[in-house]
Amino acid sequence: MTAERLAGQREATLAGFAAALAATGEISEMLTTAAREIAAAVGASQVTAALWSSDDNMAMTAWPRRAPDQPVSAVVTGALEDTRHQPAASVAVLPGDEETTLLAAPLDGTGSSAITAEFPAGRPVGAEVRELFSVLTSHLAQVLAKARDYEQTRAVALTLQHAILAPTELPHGFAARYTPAVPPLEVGGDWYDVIPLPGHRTAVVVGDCVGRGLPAAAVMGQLRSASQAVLLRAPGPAAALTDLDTFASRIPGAECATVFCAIIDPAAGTVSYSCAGHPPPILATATGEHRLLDQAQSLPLGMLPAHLQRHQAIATLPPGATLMLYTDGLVERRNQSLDKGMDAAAVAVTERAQDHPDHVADHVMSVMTPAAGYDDDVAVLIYRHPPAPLSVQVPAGDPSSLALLRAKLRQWLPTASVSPREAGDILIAVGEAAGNAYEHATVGRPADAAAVQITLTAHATDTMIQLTVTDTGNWRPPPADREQPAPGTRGHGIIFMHTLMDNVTIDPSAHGTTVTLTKDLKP
Amino acid sequence: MTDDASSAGAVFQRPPGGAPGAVPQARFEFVPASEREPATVRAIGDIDLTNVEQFKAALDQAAAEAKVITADMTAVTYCDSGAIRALFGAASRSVLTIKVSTEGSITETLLKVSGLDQIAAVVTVD
Repeated sequence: MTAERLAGQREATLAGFAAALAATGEISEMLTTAAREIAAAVGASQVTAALWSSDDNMAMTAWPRRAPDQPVSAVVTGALEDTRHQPAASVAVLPGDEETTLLAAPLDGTGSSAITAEFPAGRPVGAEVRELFSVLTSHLAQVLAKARDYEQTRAVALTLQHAILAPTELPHGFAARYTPAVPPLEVGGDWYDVIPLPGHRTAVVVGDCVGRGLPAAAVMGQLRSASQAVLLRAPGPAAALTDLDTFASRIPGAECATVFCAIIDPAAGTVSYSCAGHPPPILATATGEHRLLDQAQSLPLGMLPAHLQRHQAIATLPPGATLMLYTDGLVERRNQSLDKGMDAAAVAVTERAQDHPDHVADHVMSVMTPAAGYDDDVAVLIYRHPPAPLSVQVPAGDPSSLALLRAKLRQWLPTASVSPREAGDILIAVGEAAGNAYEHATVGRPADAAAVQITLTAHATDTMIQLTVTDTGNWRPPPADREQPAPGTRGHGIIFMHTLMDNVTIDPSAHGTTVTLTKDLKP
Repeated sequence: MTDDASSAGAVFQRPPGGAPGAVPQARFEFVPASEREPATVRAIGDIDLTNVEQFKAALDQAAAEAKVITADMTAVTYCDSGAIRALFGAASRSVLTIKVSTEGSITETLLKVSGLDQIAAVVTVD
């Protein structure tokens, strides 16, 4: 074979190799493909590539793949270790196991990668094979270096994106959804925030920067930080937006952003708010009505003439009300008025006004998502105000009473933003308390005694649920608290209550017994 | 969750009535041992003081027919210390396996809190 033909073949092989690598994505996939292609090109029985992480852990990729129980030979691992510190593009010819030959090369010369090819026993490894191995591994080294840079950049980008977006954990009673419009970015120009304030109040913000993609996201990150800072100090939402106007005038691209901000006072049952050119939030009541928080509309950030002031309004939060803040991406459609989209969103919230906020959010997103997906960023933030207390009275002796209490409680707990798991715990504890009252009313009681009633009350705040179970009879004295009963004996009920609730008191009196159960609600 | 009782002998049924709008009434099915499964009591719905005796009776029937029994609690929507007591009883007479569903189920919580999971095998089913 002439030298020219050899060179031509080598170039064809390299071109095929480069094309195969270019079609790969993740580094592990790239190494598998490279090992397979190199093994085929040089006629190796096995090719093994190794990467060392920054903390010096080695990860190997081989072709043909090794079975999980097939150890890598000490000769190969030794060759990889020795070679990784060699200068780039050098190829070593080493003796392998049992008269085989091994080629080894570093992949980047920084000591963090190497590759070996093993040849069958008795097979000569000539200069042209070494040359081909060198050409292919040099190309792999270049592609690998780029891919590692890219993965590192991507990790940095993701970390920064998540840092500028939003709180990862929301307080109890809140739910949020966020969909950026421009993949693969995970943030866009929209944002939402929930900021606990002194005095048991909570600030909520939703905003939308001009534009899409990376430039909008960069501005968004700055405005989000700024809105947090101003809300912590401002006397109210309008003052916060005025501060934000000043701030926006100094950040290129921030002017004309729209922002809605509000301060929720759960104890007073009010929400005060101010709006800078943003679509008005929807307030849905537990009884199926809704209204818009549209009494403090004003111009976008930085657009308000100096002689005008930002408006502020206050709305009452009825018990169990659902407040939904959103960005225009949720409701805006081509060839459709904004009002129509807002009406649809209001219907979606209102028809789930009795559900857990997470389920409300899921429902809104599923109803509102256009068939082809959103073409704008979407942020949705939902707050559920604690509902009116529950109060149910049932005759203790009626077998269906316990089921009725559970049914009422099952219906009420999601309205208080209680998660299914927490609801299960509460059902058990209430069931045990009510069960004792039921037993008392039915077991060994004179037939002419007055009927015993069981009363269940449940009361929610933004941080806890308190329940009482009262009966109008004398209770069986409870076993000592928290003492483990012998298997199969009575007394589990009391343990269940203490384990599943954060506080339990049992108050027996001559006229009846009251069990008070408290459960703290996790974010 | 199937509601098909034809494959199993539905031996106990709660009388009609109960709370309006409440979860489906409890049902206890006994499935005799087969080549694939040991004798099984399948409980469906809410178990409370008003029907726990039926649950106990179903477990007793299973224990009378086989040494190794399974309590399938995957379709249980609520249970309390009475049901746990019945399972403790079954575990003391037979080799008991309890099947529960994983998703934050009430039964799974109670098995752990009561310590029943230490004397009976617990299998979680997705």
